Amino acid sequence: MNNIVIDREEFCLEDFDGEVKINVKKLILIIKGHVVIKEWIKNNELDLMINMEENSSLEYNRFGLENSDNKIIINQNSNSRVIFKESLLVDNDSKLKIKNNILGNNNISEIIVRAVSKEDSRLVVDAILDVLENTFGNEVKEDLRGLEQENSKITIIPDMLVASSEVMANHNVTIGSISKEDLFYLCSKGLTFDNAKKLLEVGFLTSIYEDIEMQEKIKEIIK
Amino acid sequence: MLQIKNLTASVERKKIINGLDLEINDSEIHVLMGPNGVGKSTICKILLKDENYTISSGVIIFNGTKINDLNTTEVARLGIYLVNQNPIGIEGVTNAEMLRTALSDITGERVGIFEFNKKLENICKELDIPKEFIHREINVGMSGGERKKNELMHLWMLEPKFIILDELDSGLDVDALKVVSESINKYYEKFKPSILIITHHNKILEYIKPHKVHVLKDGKIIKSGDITLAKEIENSGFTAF
Ligand SMILES: Nc1ncnc2c1ncn2[C@@H]1O[C@H](COP(=O)(O)OP(=O)(O)OP(=O)(O)O)[C@@H](O)[C@H]1O
Ligand SMILES: [Mg+2]
Repeated sequence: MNNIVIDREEFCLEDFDGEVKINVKKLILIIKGHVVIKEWIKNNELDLMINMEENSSLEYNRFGLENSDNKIIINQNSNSRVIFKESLLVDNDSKLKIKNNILGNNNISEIIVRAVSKEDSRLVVDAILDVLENTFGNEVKEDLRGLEQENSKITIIPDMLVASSEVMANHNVTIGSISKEDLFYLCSKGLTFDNAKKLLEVGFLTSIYEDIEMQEKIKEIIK
Repeated sequence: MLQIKNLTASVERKKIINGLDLEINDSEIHVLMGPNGVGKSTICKILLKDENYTISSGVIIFNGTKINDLNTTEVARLGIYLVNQNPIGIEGVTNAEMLRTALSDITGERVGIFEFNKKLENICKELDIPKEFIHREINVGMSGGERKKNELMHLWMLEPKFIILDELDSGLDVDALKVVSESINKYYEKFKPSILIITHHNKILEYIKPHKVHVLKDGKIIKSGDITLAKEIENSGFTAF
């Protein structure tokens, strides 16, 4: 697998599959061909703009710990495909802003966020979807879920600015706490309450990734 | 093994169980029957100390320990195991993860991966389920019958002393019912647990031979007998009681 350290403010990834480490606070990332990224973040601050070239595809798998302040803009022109997945485990005030601009036609975009907040933290997730007028054939999906633990609070603000009528848009936002039924189930197998809770939390954060290695690594980190 | 004495319990302030007495000795297989909504599954939840169900009077004693004030983890560790009527799916948690955590929680020791996997693979074979189930999310995307088998996979790993089968037979095709019953019989031969079977049908009782049959109505056991009582119910229903 490839590993790349990005320390310039403009960078192009073409036909790439691997881990990236972003060492700048502001970045313009150009995506060409078929790109799969994994990124591990901790306590970071990033202003990222992703520009999708025509006929490109991007699968972005991010996992974040502790507190962060991230602003991500994804620009899609035509015939591109983006799957953006981010799981966050925060114990300090954090912000995640994702803006997906659909500027052309026949794009697919899927934004998936899972967040678990702890202690007294406040997390705000701002997800904006902007589909330009007169575009067609676009399919956009947002799936944003939060799990509030202890005294923390999650706010998810989904915003769909859809100026075109030729778009398939779908969004799902839920904020809740761990299901008592699930806890009962696991405890009835002999798990302690704390371990049952931990398993459910980790499961919530990892189940969005298809990559088993990624799942395993997150489990290891959280442990 | 289990003694329930004069138990009264409710859910959502509704009294469901009212003066229930039930005694199940070591290695006995009992059957509990009764009309829909009478409280059979409620008894299961009470035994597993589901917080939604409150005991207002009476005692439940399991192997000499009063379990009224224990929590779910504690009763599970005493060896009480429930196969739920409709096992729920647990997103993001695999069978293997749950079982490994449960076993190390219970024994306080790390679980040897090699032995663990080998044992699970054998269990899957016996239960006629693909070994891929081991690393699947618990009951997620599984059919009703597969879920029941999946719950039996857990049972074989956790080795409980008292097993409650809440409508194990519901949703199973003829072959699956046979596989599952054989698995229970095999477990019985090996560990000699006590078993409480909740069912509406006699078919499962052709495979698993019970020692006693009880009828639950109006919150308590109104009649007990042997297997002929189950046949009587199948022929003439509950109206006679
Ligand atoms: N969590 C709950 N909240 C509210 N009511 C409940 C709850 N659990 C059970 N009940 C009620 O308690 C009664 C008994 O339900 P229970 O599930 O124990 O019946 P059952 O005998 O198992 O029936 P079936 O044969 O249909 O499975 C029903 O009226 C049911 O609606
Ligand atoms: Mg029931």
